[in-house]
Amino acid sequence: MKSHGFVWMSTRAVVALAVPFALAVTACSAQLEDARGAHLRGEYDQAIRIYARALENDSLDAAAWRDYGRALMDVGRYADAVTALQSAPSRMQPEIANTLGEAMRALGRLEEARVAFAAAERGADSLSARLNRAIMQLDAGDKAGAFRTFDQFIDVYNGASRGRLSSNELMAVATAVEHLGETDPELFKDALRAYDEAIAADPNNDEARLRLARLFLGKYNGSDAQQTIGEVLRRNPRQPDALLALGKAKEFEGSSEAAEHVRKALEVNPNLVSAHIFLTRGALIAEDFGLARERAERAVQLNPASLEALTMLATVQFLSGEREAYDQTERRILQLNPRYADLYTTLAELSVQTRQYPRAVELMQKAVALDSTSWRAHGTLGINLLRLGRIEDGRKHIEIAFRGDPYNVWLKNTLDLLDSMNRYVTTERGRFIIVADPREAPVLEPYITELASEAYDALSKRYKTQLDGKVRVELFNSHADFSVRTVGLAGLGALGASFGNLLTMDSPAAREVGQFNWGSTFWHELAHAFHLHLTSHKVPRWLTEGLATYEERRAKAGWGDDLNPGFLAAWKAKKLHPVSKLNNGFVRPEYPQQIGFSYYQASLVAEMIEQEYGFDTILQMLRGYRDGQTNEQVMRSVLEVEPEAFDKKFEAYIEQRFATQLAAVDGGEGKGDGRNSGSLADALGTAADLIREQEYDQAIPLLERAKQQFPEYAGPGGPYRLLAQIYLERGDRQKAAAELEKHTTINETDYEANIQLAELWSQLGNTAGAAAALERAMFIYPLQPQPHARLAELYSQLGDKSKVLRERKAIIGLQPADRAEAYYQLARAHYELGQNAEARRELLRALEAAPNYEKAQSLLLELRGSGR
Amino acid sequence: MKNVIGNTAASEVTHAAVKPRWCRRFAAAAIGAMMVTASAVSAQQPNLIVVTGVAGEPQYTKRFHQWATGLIDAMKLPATKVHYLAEKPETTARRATGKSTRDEVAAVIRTVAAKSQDPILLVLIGHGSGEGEPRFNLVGPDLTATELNRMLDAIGDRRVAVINAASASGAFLEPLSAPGRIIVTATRSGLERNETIFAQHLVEAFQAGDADKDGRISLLEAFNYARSEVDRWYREQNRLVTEHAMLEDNGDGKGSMEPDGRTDGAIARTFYLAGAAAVTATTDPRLRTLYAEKQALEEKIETLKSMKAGMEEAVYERELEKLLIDLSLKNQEIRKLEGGR
Repeated sequence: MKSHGFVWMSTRAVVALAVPFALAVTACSAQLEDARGAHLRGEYDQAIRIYARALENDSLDAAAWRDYGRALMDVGRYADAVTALQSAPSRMQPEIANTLGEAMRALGRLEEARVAFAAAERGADSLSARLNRAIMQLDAGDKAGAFRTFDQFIDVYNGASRGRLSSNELMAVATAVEHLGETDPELFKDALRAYDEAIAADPNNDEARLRLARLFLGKYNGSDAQQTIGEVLRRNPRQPDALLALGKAKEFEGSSEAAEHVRKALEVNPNLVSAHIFLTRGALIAEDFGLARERAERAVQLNPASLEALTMLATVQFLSGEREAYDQTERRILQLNPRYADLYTTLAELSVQTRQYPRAVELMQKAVALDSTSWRAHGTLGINLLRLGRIEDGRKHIEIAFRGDPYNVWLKNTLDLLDSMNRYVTTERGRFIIVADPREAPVLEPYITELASEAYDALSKRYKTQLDGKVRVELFNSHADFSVRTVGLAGLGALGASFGNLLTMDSPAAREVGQFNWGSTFWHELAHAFHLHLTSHKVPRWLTEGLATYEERRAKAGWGDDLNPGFLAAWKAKKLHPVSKLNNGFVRPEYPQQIGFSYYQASLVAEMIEQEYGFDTILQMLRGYRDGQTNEQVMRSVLEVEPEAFDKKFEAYIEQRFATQLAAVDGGEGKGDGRNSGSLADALGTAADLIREQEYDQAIPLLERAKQQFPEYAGPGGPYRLLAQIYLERGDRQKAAAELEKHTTINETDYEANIQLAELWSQLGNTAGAAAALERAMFIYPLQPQPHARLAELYSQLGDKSKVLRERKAIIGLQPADRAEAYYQLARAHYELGQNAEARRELLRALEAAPNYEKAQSLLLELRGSGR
Repeated sequence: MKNVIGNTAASEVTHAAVKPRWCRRFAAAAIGAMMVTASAVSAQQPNLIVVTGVAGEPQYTKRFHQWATGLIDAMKLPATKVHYLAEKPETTARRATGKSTRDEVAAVIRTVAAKSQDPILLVLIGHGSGEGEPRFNLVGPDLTATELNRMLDAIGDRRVAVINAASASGAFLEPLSAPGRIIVTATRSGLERNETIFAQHLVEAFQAGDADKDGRISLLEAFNYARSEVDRWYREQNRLVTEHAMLEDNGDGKGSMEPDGRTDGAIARTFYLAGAAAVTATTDPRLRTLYAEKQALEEKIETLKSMKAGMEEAVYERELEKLLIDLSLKNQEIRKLEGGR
């Protein structure tokens, strides 16, 4: 173990830390063995009974008293533990005082706990008691004092040259050193080793395992955390702290199972304050402020001195807009610990969960002012400054945090990303700042500038507002980079994110062709910016996602999610949330597809509200949220309906609007051999088989019927695509084109279909149709030169000179092999627009590559002849 | 006759290998001295020997054959100048002229070399291995780099270009390197063992690879096109790039990924795969004068380009424009005299 230059000792030494008490009176051994066995297996009630009986027979077994106390605490009977331990013979007290102190601390009886820990320093548990006192010092804000005590544990370890440290003593050393890791990150490794030694010394020391698991989680190492927790749960599947730790580990990996494990913990220990705190967090993230308040108040009731519980209560009050109540709770917390920066850090982190990034920055600045060595505060501040587009300020704080905590994966990833973003190109165009990889920027910039302008004008008009300041758009050609930028870790499932005036998203190069539509993604994220702006970032997740998805559908034909059989199947199976609980579909999905379904469902809600109440009603709703109203309050005051009634209204809307499609998903009549089945899936499957057998005359009616049943379906194996295939086989290009046109105006990601359609329309002389198809393709994947060249030709035929220029610029951006031709064409496009200076410049580039290029030479002479 | 590094053809003054380090006053003399030899070379159509090796699976058999015939069709050579050795000639619809065995390869090289002094282009399409002795997989014994080098050495001084488009082909670079010989490999070393797509894009170069717009595709142009399109393909597919094509023609055994004519590329620039050579021989004294003036302008342009890095952009553009306008007018005059070609 190292500190002050000490060398890690490879052999453990026994340390006589306190005067050992020679009061080892044993209770009935067999009974105690039974009790401990039951305790280890999680049979707490039985263990408690046996302990009680054994101690009646022999009250001078200190270990038995401690174990009895712990068993009671494990099921949340803290008060009973205090009573029981206080009833032990007085000469037992020093030996059991540490356990007594822990029970008192759990009840918030801090002074009494301090006294108990002080008394315990004369007993066998002296090291643990000393640790507990130091932790109480830390919780009271005396960091320097606490750290001085923690420091002594290193000496304890290194000085233990004879005998051995017990498992509990090693665990105490590990915890002390773990705290010291804040000042010297290398000590985390020593803490890890000490925990391992504690476990090796006593494989039944589950508390050591749990503390180790929490250390792993604190460093974002979910897999080692889960492995360690698993070791505890294998022997005792009811261990409440282990179940809580598992819930936290599952939350870390984004699993929907997290809350379930924590609820199981509460079944065993209904007074487990940390569990209530965890569930409060979950309720806040789900924006269920009522449930969050309930949980937070329960936690505070159980332990009125718990800083974490009070912080949760303060957060609920803060996010609910209860200023006075918040101020009171804030004062209470700061009385307990004047340097408790975690209040503001937690508040900020949960504000971020509800998209209140500017507020999070203000809070983090308070945290850092209160405790400049809070690496968590610096890190969170830095990350959120980045979300406001304040890159340099953000980097500064992240670097401070990383110096203090170099094992924080989030910070490291973010700093690495910032380094790689140094080579990104930043372009300002009107209201937008576009940041992209230098290889893509020349191609994307003309498109995104046009789209951004169109989207901004449309949304500004619709939402009757302007955004403050410029909008920064960052496009990442690596999904991992986008993920790190957005949440600090790789693996985010989203395509884009909006933090207000900062939008981050995958660029087309980040994904395989056809995986997403970057144009609609951009529109979606910009819509969020308007919702956040209008509501001062208080819009609930379900509504902003619903509106943003709906705005995509309104923006361009085919954009945005469409009705699909999977959604309706989930609807019929009642696997979708009612509107009043729709937020859960986003923040606590019960199965992976539920998130995607929730987006579409929310968009239907938005659509229904506009249809039935008008869009101004939606604006009113947004104002309601801005003013601090909850979902229920907004529904009552604006829609004039109770939440449950609105749920039913939406159900009726879906049933009526999609009656035909619901029947098609159902199966209709006759399952027979599939050829007579009424189900969409059967029809499409059968049609595909018939096409393979070239039985086109039989396939066509099936596909036509499928279109009638489910006109919105243009997904894999959909009727439009299959019909197009048949008509192409038969040489009927017109019909094939008609089917593909329908397909591509529903399906926003089918790149190949758009390319094929463009070719068909060209052959049929429909230049505008061909151009429209290629234009759609560009919003899926704009990084191939040939479609741009073709589109340029089409726009030239259509006389749209600006678009010709846009395409010629895009080709240059793609660094074509034939530079001379590309620059020549660009020069000509400029020339057609009367931009002779630009034309000249590009011509020189063309002729530089190919000085004898006849066409370019002719244009040069023409330019010269025209006097410029 | 193997040319020394830096030789250029008269008609290629457009692409003259005026190395930046040469003093300008020597450039014209050097180029002029090489006019006759290089023009003779450039006017010669190469003999094409395409070898498709052991495919292993039907999909590769089909693919290799497509690339081989694509290349043959694109080069538009007389049948007498084309030799196509395939793993299974009977499946090639009579396109193949023999079986791709080591002995057959050797025999064809000898035969072709014996017939004329025309350049030889040898293209290997298939699978290779860079472990131990670098080899190209053939029916029967494989063709090693050492053996191929011996075969090429045996045919004496002539312009030879070898394109090894197989996996792990980079290992052939060093053993085959020789003064005046052009080596192109699909990979940069024998460690890049994955299947390659270089040959596919090499074929496509004939459609879109004429970078200098002189109506001909040089090996350098084809290489640059194929390399750049290979790179694009991997980016579009979101895959790690597992092949990095190389070109070596200055005899130092080290190829270049981006030959610029200074390290590698000078000879490849004048090795033509397709297209008609510009007419430069004439009895018309006016045309002779114009050709010479045109050549001088092209040299000036190349010299100016070589000085670009040290010039202010506006000054460079002004100078360049002036020369380009003069060249354009000169070309107009030439076309008029040539009869409106």
